[in-house]
Amino acid sequence: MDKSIEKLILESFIKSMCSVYKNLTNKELIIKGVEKMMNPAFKYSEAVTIVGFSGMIVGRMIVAMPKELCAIVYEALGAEQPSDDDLLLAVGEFGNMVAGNAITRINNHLKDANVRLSPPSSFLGRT
Amino acid sequence: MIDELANIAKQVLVSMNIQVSGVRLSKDSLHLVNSPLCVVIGLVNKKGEEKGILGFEFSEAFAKYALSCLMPGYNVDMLSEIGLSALLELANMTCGNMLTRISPDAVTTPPTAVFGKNAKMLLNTAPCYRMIFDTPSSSLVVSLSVT
Repeated sequence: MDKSIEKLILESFIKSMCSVYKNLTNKELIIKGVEKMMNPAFKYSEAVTIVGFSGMIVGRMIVAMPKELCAIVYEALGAEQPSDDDLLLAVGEFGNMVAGNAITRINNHLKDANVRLSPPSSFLGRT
Repeated sequence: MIDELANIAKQVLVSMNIQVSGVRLSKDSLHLVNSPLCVVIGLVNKKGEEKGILGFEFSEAFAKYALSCLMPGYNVDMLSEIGLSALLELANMTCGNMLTRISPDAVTTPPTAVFGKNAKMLLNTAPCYRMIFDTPSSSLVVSLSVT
């Protein structure tokens, strides 16, 4: 993939993550850095959402967060004291908002990119 | 339409030497999954008006049986790189065959394998159709939800 497109995709997802989180919670996310995954297996045992996208670019976004952070997101969406089922919905909705925002940025920058999202799938592990 | 999709999936399974003794259909209000290994494939059409999720729910017994059919003579663990790759390919091929029947201009997102014992998995908040393929060793569940 073209380096400039790769940079645009990464920046779009990072900016979207920060802006959606800030809009919801009124708190800043601190970016510690970007790492390239060397192993295709991603291990995580708390709240995870996967949102696939397809079009000129094809891939998936995975958002993984501790249950405590997911509860903060859930409460920011307007409710209190989430159950595990509520956390599943919250992490999926959060992932959908981040991916939707990022894909809009990408479609606005790349003419004819026509990237579309699949519905978010969410997972909650028991630690 | 679900009958036709089940038929297409059955043909793919049979072509891979996986014996299917029966097919059952069911419907749920949410696309929830209860198996330890699930392959998730997203579906979108080119206008973005319709989207969905296709889930392949593997029990450990079915995964073992399917791998023995795909790679006879080898004892492949379902969580090994080659085992997961084979199961992902099985899901991808089945999905590819079903795709044109689901929507003529639908495209897929890359398949993702999710493993989690006792994990809660919600693939989509839309109603889901399940196609349950009975085999000599446990069952494979293919589930579809479209919004």
